[in-house]
Amino acid sequence: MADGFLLATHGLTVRYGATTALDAVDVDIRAGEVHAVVGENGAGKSTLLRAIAGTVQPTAGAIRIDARNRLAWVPQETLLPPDLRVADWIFLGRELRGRMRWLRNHAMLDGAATALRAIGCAAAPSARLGSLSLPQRKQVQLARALRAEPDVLLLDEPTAVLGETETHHLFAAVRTLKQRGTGVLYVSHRLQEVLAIADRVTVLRDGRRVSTDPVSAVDTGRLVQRMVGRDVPEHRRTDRTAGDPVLRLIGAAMAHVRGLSLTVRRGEVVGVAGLVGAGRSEVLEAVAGLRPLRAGRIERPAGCAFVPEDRGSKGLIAALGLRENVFLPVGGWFVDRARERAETQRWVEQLRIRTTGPDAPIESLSGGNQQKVLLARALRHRPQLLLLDEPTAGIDVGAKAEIHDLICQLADRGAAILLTSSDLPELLVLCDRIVALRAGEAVGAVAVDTATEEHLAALITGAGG
Amino acid sequence: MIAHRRRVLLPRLVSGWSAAVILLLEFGFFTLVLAPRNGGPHTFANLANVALILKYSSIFGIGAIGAAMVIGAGGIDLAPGAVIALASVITGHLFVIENAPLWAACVAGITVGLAAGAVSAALVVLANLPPFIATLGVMGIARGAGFLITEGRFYDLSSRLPSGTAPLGLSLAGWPGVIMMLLAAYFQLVMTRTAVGRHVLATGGNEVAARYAGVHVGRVKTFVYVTAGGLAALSGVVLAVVQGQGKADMATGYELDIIAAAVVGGASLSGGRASVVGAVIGSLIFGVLRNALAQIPGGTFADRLILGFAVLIIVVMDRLATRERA
Amino acid sequence: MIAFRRHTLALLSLIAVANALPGCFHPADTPRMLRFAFIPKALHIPVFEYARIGAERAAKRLGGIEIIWRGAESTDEIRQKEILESFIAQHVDGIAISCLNGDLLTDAIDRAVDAGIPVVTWDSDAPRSKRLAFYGVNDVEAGRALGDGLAKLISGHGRVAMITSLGADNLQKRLDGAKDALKKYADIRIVEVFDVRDDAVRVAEVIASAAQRYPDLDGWLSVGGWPVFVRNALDPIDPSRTKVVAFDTIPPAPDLLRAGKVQLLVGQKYFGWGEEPVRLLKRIIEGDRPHEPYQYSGMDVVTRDNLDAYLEQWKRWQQGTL
Repeated sequence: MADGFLLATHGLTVRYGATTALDAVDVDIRAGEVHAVVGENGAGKSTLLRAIAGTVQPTAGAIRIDARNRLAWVPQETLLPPDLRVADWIFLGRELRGRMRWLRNHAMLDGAATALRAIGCAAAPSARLGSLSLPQRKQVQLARALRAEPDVLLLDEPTAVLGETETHHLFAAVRTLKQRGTGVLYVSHRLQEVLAIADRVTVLRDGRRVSTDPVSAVDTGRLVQRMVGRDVPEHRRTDRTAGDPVLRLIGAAMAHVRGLSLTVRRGEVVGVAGLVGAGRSEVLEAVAGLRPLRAGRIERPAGCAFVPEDRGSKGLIAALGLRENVFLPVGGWFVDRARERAETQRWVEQLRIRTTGPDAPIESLSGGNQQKVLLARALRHRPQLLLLDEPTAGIDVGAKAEIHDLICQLADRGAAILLTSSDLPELLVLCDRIVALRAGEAVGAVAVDTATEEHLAALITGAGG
Repeated sequence: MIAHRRRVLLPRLVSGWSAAVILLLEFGFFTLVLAPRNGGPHTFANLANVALILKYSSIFGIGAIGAAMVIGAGGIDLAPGAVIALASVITGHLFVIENAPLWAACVAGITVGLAAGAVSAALVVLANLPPFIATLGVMGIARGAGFLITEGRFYDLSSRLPSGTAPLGLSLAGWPGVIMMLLAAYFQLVMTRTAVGRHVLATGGNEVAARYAGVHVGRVKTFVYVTAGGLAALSGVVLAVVQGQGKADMATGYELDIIAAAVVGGASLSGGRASVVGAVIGSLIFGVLRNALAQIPGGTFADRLILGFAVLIIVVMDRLATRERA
Repeated sequence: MIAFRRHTLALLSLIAVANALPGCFHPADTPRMLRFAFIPKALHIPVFEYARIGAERAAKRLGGIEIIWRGAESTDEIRQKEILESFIAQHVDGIAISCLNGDLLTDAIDRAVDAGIPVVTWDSDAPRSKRLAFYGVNDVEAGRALGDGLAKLISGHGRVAMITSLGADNLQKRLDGAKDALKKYADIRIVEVFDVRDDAVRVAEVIASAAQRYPDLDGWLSVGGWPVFVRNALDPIDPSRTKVVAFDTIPPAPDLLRAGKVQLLVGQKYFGWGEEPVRLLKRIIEGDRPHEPYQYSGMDVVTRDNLDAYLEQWKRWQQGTL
């Protein structure tokens, strides 16, 4: 395009009824640059990408893009048809054809293998998508977009479900694209990553563009301030004394996990760190009673609540509203709507869930607020043991801090918490102890006062001691 | 804040009532079109005809209540037609051949339906069969059992029922409609005001999430299939008593009309959305249509065609109305 | 807002659909015609088309009569009863019905008669009801004709199989008549009675699989026309070895008779099914009730010898000159 932009939006506005998701946003992408977009949940980042990708009709404004430019979009959700193969998805719509238009299967398998290698994904090209783990599916999505060699690439929270190594590979691939002249619009919550990969960063708040700066001119503190509109103090851990043991795993073995022994006490936050596929979710599911034990023993308390990862597919039920998702299962025989509404309203206030009301449809909530709904569901029973699987995946800074506060408050009040996270700094901030898992085995327990991120990373990857 | 126009929560309440509006419009429409020209009595909009519509709609309506719940839980049931027939056979056999008291024969008929539903539930929950296959199998077994028992004959209950039987003062012909209404009210309450109802929709909406939340998904599924079986059997028992015959070959293909009634009444085949009241109204919509078509010259040859179109039109409009809008 | 649009669309589409139906908006005032409702067993059974031709012809000849031909798409007894009850609600002037299940329809027929609507049955009766007349073949005698005819063809000894459809009263009577006739022959054994559920497609399956099971069958007896309603149902049968007698003479049965695939047919008065009830209803309305409800139509026994003469007669029936 004439002015050096691959794509530019002018006064882009998207309204859903009474709500304005985007308000006269001007954003542009230059060739060979990574332009990051940050903001709290509900700030409009995903809507911006959707409008550019074309799945959402703007209410006003314009998007200018050269029609010859290829555009690829990797959305935040990782919903893939489970019975398709990896190679099929990577080549979907752009299948390689041979004589008589028949599909060239081997060529596509090879092509898929190349694309997967470039992104550092270990999955087999002929594997069923349903058999892959969540991070692997995300990598397949990315491989598909990258293979298309787009001129404009839209990435929506690509690293939310990726571990460190995978993120590494992604960044390498993005840098390669940059060199080829592709413009990347990169939406993320992980400010450290943004500062590492982006050239420019735009801050959105409440649907409006607050600022656009070269990355060298900002730091996380300044970004957070602009995102939230106020200063957000870094979270401080309080000292707690742990009480009696509430959960005991003794040589517990389950799918993907060999004999694991650990103890969680009252008032203690224990973290489980590990790479993708190390077995973290399986441990929590077994403790929750949703997975059978193959060996060993689990001693768990009666009041035990589990918040699964992947809230979209394993946590929330879209057909039900907010209140109904919280009150699931319904205690007792009958539904008391008035009582449920009142209690739901209390949770909305207590957890600061931003919503139109206790009966709002679940899909009208942003990711962070949806996660809070799941927390309300778990906390409603005042559990003695709280199991959290990736509680802040895909959630913005502001909501993340709120959830961290909440976890600490719960521990202060005597709850025992077992949580997993692929965000090592988060674990170091929240936990009293961290158990490192590698390929289904506990390879070390770390007391947080003396731990460092490097040491933890070394444990879970197996590099060094 | 992103507020999608998609009606997710509302249609579970509104769909039932939207169907009611369609029913009223339909009835009004045919009242106009079928008005007599030379000032005779109205052949469509009279009490006797409405009673007729209620009577014949309830054959499907009672079963549609069960279908709505099964579909709401994310399943599907192909057995109702066969269970209706089998229940009528059991009731007929016990009442006419074994000389059992009528109430006992009726209870036995309903029990057989509950048992058929239990078999479906076992196949779905324990053997993990897809509901389509499981209920297809039960349909075959039930249909075959009926033929085995009757050996091609039928049971004539009307010969042993004193003519002019009118329990509680209401003639036999009026009872199917009343039973359908009572069951509709009862199960509507179950679906909206009890824990089971919510758990049914949770299971259908997202079974994995429901299980993770602590819902006993297996128990929920068992509940809906057994209830659906019992309701279909009740429909068969009512048929046997009111129409006076127990036959193995009746109600062939009725399961599709029952499912259509539930879908028109707001049940979503992907699970999580269903309305019991809507299903009953759906059966009335089709009942009114069948009745009215029989009064329009040249009507019945096009019956099936028009009914098929009606289902498509209603469901397509529902999709259009709930499509996501910016 | 959306809900309102949906209902408007519903209304508009219902109007559109109704407009598509022929004759929905009636022509300008016509003089009061007698409306006779004709209900066949089902719409998809080809035999009844001749009844329709006969009925409409009789209506035209007598004048002032409108024939409303209505039935269920399949042999659904409950649906037939629903249609019958609908006609009662419409206060038609007369009803002529071929009953799928006479006992099931009895209470409805009685209600019609009590309400002043004359009812006659044709082809298949509801003997316990208050219907004023039944016009049709004497099923028992027709069955006997079949039985005797087959016995003669196989010289009084051998194994035979029978085809029927369970449920309809008239078929049951024919079956009884046929069995009765065959009882006289000690050397004739009935190996099996097959139920084809009134489905001409199923009869082909039944005959084919029976040919495997009973390879040395001497005769087939069908109390209905299913084997001769389609062209190839009888192919598995070797006519030199196995003889076939069947009911009904409507096409393509005569062709099959000529080709030797079937040896004897018993024909009913198909056009009469339409003509006679019209005449009966008109007479009843004019005050002339039949003394004897059973108006037997007589039957035609057709073999290759008298086939041509029969077909001549058929042509004249079709033209209405007989």
